[in-house]
Amino acid sequence: MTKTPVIALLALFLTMGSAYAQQPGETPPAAPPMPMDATPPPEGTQAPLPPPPPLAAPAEPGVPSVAERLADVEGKVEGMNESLIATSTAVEGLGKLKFSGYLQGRYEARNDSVSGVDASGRVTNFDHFYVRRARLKAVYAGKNAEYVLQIDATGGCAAGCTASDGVSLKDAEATFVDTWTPLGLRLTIGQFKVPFGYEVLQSSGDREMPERSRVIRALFPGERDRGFRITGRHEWLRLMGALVNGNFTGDSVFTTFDQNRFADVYARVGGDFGVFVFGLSGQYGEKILTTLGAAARTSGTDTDGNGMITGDEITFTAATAPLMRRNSVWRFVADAQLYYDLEGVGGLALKGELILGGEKNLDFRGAAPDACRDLKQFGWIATLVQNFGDHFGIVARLDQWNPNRDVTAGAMPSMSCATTVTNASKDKITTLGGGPILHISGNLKASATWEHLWRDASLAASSMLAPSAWIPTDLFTLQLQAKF
Amino acid sequence: MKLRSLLAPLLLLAPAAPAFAGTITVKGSDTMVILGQRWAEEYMKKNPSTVIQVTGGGSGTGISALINGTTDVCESSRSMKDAEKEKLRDRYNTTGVEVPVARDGLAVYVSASNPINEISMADLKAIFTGKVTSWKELGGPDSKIIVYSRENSSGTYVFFKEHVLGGADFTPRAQTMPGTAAVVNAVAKEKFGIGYGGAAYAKGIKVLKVKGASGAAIEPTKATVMNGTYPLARPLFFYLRNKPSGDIKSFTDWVLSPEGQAIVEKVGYYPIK
Repeated sequence: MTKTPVIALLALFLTMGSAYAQQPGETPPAAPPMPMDATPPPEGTQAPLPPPPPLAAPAEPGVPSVAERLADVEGKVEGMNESLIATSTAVEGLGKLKFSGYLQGRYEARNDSVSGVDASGRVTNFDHFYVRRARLKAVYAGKNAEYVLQIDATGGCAAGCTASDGVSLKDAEATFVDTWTPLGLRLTIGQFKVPFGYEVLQSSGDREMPERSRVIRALFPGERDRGFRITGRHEWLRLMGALVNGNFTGDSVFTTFDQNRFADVYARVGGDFGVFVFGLSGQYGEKILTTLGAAARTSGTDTDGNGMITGDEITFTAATAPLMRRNSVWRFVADAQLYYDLEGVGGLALKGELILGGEKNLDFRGAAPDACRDLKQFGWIATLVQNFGDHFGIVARLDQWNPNRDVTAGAMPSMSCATTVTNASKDKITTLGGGPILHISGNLKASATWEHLWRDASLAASSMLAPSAWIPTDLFTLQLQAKF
Repeated sequence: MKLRSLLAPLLLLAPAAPAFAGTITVKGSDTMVILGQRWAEEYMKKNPSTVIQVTGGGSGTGISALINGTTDVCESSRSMKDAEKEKLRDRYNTTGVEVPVARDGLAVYVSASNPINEISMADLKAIFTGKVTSWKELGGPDSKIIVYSRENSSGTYVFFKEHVLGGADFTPRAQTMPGTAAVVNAVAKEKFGIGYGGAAYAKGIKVLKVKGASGAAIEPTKATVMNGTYPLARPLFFYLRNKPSGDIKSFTDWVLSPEGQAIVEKVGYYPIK
């Protein structure tokens, strides 16, 4: 409300009050009603008059006049107005801070689950309830700056782990927002998803399948890296580029740390035409793979069973130096999404990605390149989503991941290479999955998903792997997601 | 646990129908809420089996409701932003359907007693960003300009910010009003006030002519809004999630019919064709 009407009302009220106070000669109020059981006075007699009303006290010296009181009220309203402006500014600032988040509660069942533990005491049951993701995101969008912080309360978890506690950092972005150029450039330093393809960048809260495809999980575990990113858009054009540490090394020792001095480069160019979206992304970098050395040691075995270890039963193992190999890494992906609104049915989405990658072993610290350590990677993803009205949908996804195209059925036919490149982890894996999706409300989504997996070669060595590295043939996931 | 038995709880979570058959929810622009109510009243008279619920809240609120699935039709006095389209696509695998349903000339209001009759776009920007604070700088009385604006969920606010302020922020001294009627009411009572809103609400105040690129001062009339010469002419939209079908299609078709467009003019806006 503006101050003018407030002042006008107050002035009116005060004026009326003063007027009443200054009317001593007014007609007295009517006599109070007579009680029902009271005897009326006889005709011709006059009822006693009620006592006269008390006279209003005359204005005393020192009591402010109406004009003074009005000026006082006006000053107070002006002060309140100033206070309101300050409050509005503070509230507007708070409006730029937005919180969002989602939580995924899940039940998972696998065909390879076995009650109990293996010989090493490791759990072999994977049929369980767990919390897959518990995200909280804060975004502050200022005029030329943006702050993004996203944490996950289910904690950090190495590949294959099934349970953990604590909080881990997902996104931490300090962004400068350009408001002058037509590209609306955004320059970010921090931790963010690498700009590569469609599935990497898609939010897990929006994804129809419970997890990303195997090829994405293999090449970009965690999807995020630390570095510098630039994005821009103009009409249909979408541009992204990033310079990052390059932490997707696959290193067995430094799992999330790149020992290489050189940063990885990403670039993505795409177009968004509403019903058709496409992108071409590339990555180039280097990584170092580490094998830790071992100290010299002496051990003894009582081979003759005489209860004593004698000189000939003592073995000396010499120290081994840590071994490091350097690989160059390149990857390329073409992705496209097509959307079509089927009248009377709902939205249909067809999404595809084709991924080519490679690693080439380079000389490092005097060691010659080893062609047997080169990798030719290949993968693809095809997803179909069909909505039925606003609440129901189905998803189907077929994807393939081939870690090394030179390896066929567990063997490398044309080269006499070491077994490091012919083991089961280089098998081609094809996965078909899908199921119904139920959007219970704008904030609640339930899904039931089944996935079946085919491997190029049977994993005879499965029993030799740690259970956490087992790959199930059939996987069922029931999930309820709540978001705000 | 058998996998089959796990599917049972999923079925229990099946949602209730989002709206009863024959019920259409319309939400969004405060500028359009009266127009939406008139349409609904007339349409329900002719189609008694259909119930149309119209509420305001602002274009941004309506678009959020469309994305969240809590309204069937969104009324909006601005176009959907790219980010909003992407959210809709992520959730429904559609890009939404934009239906222009009326035209409006965004009017600039001052008190009927204000001697100023016309204003340039540059002066409007200067006033609403706080660079000009006295009417004296525009040839008026030596009095402080009282600026009235809208909440940022309003499509009118967004349109004004984009088309008049060029994306700049409003002056922090601007008083935020909850609706166009509140802006008109405040300007009518404040001799040195200025505000903006739909032309249909302009009662008891003066509407300024606006000077555009040509330099000519243009009044928001049917002719200038329809031919686009009025600098602040804008379309008013319906947004839908999918291609309309059933009751929503019938209602949308009727809104675009001569009968529906006649109501547009009765309320004070201009037909789309």
